[in-house]
Amino acid sequence: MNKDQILSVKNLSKNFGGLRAIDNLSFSVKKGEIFSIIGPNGAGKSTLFNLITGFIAPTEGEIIFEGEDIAGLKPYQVARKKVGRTFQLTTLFFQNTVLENLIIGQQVTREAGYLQSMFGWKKRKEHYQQAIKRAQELAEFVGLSNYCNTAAALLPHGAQKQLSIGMVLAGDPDLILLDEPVGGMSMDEIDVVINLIKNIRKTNITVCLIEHKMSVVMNISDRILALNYGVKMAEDIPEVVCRNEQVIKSYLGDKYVVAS
Amino acid sequence: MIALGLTLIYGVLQIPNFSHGALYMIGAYVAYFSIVSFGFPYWVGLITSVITLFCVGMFVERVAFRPLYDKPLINAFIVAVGLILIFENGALAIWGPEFRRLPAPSSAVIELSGAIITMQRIIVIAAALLLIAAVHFFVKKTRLGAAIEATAQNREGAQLMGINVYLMGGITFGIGTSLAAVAGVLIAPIFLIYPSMGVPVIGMAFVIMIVGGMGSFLGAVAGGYLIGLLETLVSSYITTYFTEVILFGLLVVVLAIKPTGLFGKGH
Amino acid sequence: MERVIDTMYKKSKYKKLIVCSILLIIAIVAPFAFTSEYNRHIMVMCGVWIIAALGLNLILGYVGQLNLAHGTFFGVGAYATALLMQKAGIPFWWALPLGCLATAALGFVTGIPTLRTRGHYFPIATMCLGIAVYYAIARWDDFTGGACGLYGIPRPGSISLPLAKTIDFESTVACYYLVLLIAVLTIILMLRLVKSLTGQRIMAVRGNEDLAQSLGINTMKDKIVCFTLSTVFAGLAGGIFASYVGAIMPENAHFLVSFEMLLYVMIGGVGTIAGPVIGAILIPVLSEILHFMGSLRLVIFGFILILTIQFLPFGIIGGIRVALLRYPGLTGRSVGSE
Repeated sequence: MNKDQILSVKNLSKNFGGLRAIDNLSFSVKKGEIFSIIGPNGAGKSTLFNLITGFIAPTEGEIIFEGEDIAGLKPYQVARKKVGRTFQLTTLFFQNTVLENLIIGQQVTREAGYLQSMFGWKKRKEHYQQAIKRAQELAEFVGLSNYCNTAAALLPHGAQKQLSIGMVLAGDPDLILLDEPVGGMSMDEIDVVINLIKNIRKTNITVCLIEHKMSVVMNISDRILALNYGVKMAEDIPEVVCRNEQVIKSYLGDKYVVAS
Repeated sequence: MIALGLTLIYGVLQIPNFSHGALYMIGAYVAYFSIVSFGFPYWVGLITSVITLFCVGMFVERVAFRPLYDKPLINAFIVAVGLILIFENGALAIWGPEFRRLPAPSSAVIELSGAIITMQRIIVIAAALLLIAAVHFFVKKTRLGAAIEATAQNREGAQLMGINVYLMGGITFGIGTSLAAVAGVLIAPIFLIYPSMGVPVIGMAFVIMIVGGMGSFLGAVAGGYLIGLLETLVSSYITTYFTEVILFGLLVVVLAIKPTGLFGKGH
Repeated sequence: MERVIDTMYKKSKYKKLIVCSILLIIAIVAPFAFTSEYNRHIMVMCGVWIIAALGLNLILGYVGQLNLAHGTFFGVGAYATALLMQKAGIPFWWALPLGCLATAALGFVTGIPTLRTRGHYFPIATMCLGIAVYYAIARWDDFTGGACGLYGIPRPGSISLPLAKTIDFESTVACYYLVLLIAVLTIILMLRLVKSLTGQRIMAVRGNEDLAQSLGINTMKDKIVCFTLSTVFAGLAGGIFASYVGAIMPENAHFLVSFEMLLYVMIGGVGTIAGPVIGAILIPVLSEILHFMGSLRLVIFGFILILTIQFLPFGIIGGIRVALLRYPGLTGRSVGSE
């Protein structure tokens, strides 16, 4: 396997009953890049994320992350391999504050045992303070330092998305999968998140994202994978993908192909 | 039959009604008093009980469960626990702990190929079959039944179609509890009536539901017979002492292997 | 900003510490105020219920799983401790931890299959488990004494202190202090667990299991550990109960016991530490006061339970918190920090 690839998917398929949601799909993500997955509704994008992160088991195929096949592992095991993800519907611990959410996100890196929590003394305190400190850093990084003690449910939508990204980062991942990070946002909010994603890349974290807004995808992606009905249409740099006939066809319909 | 009522309620309202056994007990008491105290004939007592329990069921649904539809499920469970406390101890306080016996409508004994069966048992079995058919017919063939089924499948969708989902909830609950009442009244002449008579039954009913898969009518019926068979087999071939232990233990095992019930559809 | 929060936090911590110490002092001097044997007996029982209710609260309030076999585990702990003392002749101080261990073992073994269930099936599965264990106890005449139960279980043996003093547990007061000590230790352990990184993690499992998993939390492991831990406290309470009362019956393992504990936790305030403690004191005391009403008092509790869930989902403690939030003037500070 190529050394600069962080994730490579080989001949991956997933059947739901008779429906083939992902069909013999192969692609790879390079270390440090921003890799976007596009495709019309029902193309299998979210299914793909669920397969990579272990929420669904693949019917066949390999998912190789850092040289290791992670296909069929449980979600928490995948997360411990340092693959983080967000969900399409913003998912947070809504009753908890921003800071608490960011503390919970650190479970991958500092899992506290029961005995230590109940009987520990110095180390317990140390760990807790480290966690709070890290959470504050993260809050600043994702631009929520003014909201530290606000309950997540009370945040505006954009800030909730930022927090969900912050929680993923809390686990110190090498690869993060963001499912529609700017879905349903206003233009201003989108700019904030785009900047955030660019900043994440600077910290050597590979970003893989699903997005519908073409302007965003074309702007920030290094490479793009286009899916339709679980089949790969194209995998290349944005300039090439957006001229791909099949892609245009699936998005805009047959008659536009000639015109372009 | 109890399981049928439970299944109906569960399938439509997603309420795991633990208090069903208690309602079954109330049904038996209502019948008892209308028959013994007011001198009604057995069948009139049965109908009185069914009507009363229908009203009780609708009332309980309205007051106790309806405010909880959009709350976590655990709450409905706990409300059911509260209802059990109310009904059982209420019955204990009002009617006392004595055992009561309801006179059977027919004490005839029939000999059927060597086995002796009382008329009452035949009535129970016949009534069970009849009710199963009736409920099935009601849900599948009538307008109201269709509305109830729609509510079960998709609350919001049903609401958009102009179905009063709240009313459907009440009616379903009422029917479910009146089924419990029928069971109570029919069984009463065979067993005895006492405040905690619902406790063993409710356990069994849940067993049947688990085996049959929640919310599926045929599953409930099949589960009922399967459990009955198993109970007889265990008590006649293994031990009469630990029948319940084995049965309920088996159930936990079933759930462990198939966490959504034996014939349950995966959620 | 950070400092403001910090001082606020410290202030509230300070206040809470004062309140807790006052309550502890009240608990310590209480036997001198209530001298009748009857009142003291109720106080011991409250302590026992506190321990058990906190155990139930861990799994119900923090992990979000309704365990309807908690009372059964209470009974198992009671029977295990009693049998170890009577049949094996082991002294109380060894029998109690061993009894807890036995309960934990059963909790662990049964937790693995039952916690695999999803949605509504967990309460039902535990209920079935409870019924199975109840019948096992009630029918196993040779071992558990069957429906008659076990009698003449000895009280805890006396312990000698370094200053040539011995404490024996023949009096109710001595038992009260023993229970008080264990209850306070339970409260402290629970507080430490809940307010730690582990506690945050457990609550994450309750909040959203999928999200928790995506963050690398082995939710199944946490559920099993917490379930087992909660049964330990049920067993602990049961063991103390058996030795203190001296007689146990299958009814002590019935699921009605679970219902009662559920009452304490829900009415006091689920998902808080103070709630179950308040519930486990208030309800038994109320129950004794209303004793003349007979079984009607349980009817009342049933109504209270339903009303609580409708209007105060987090019980008395939740109600107090909402009140404080609405009228911050009552305490001079805003609530919200745990």
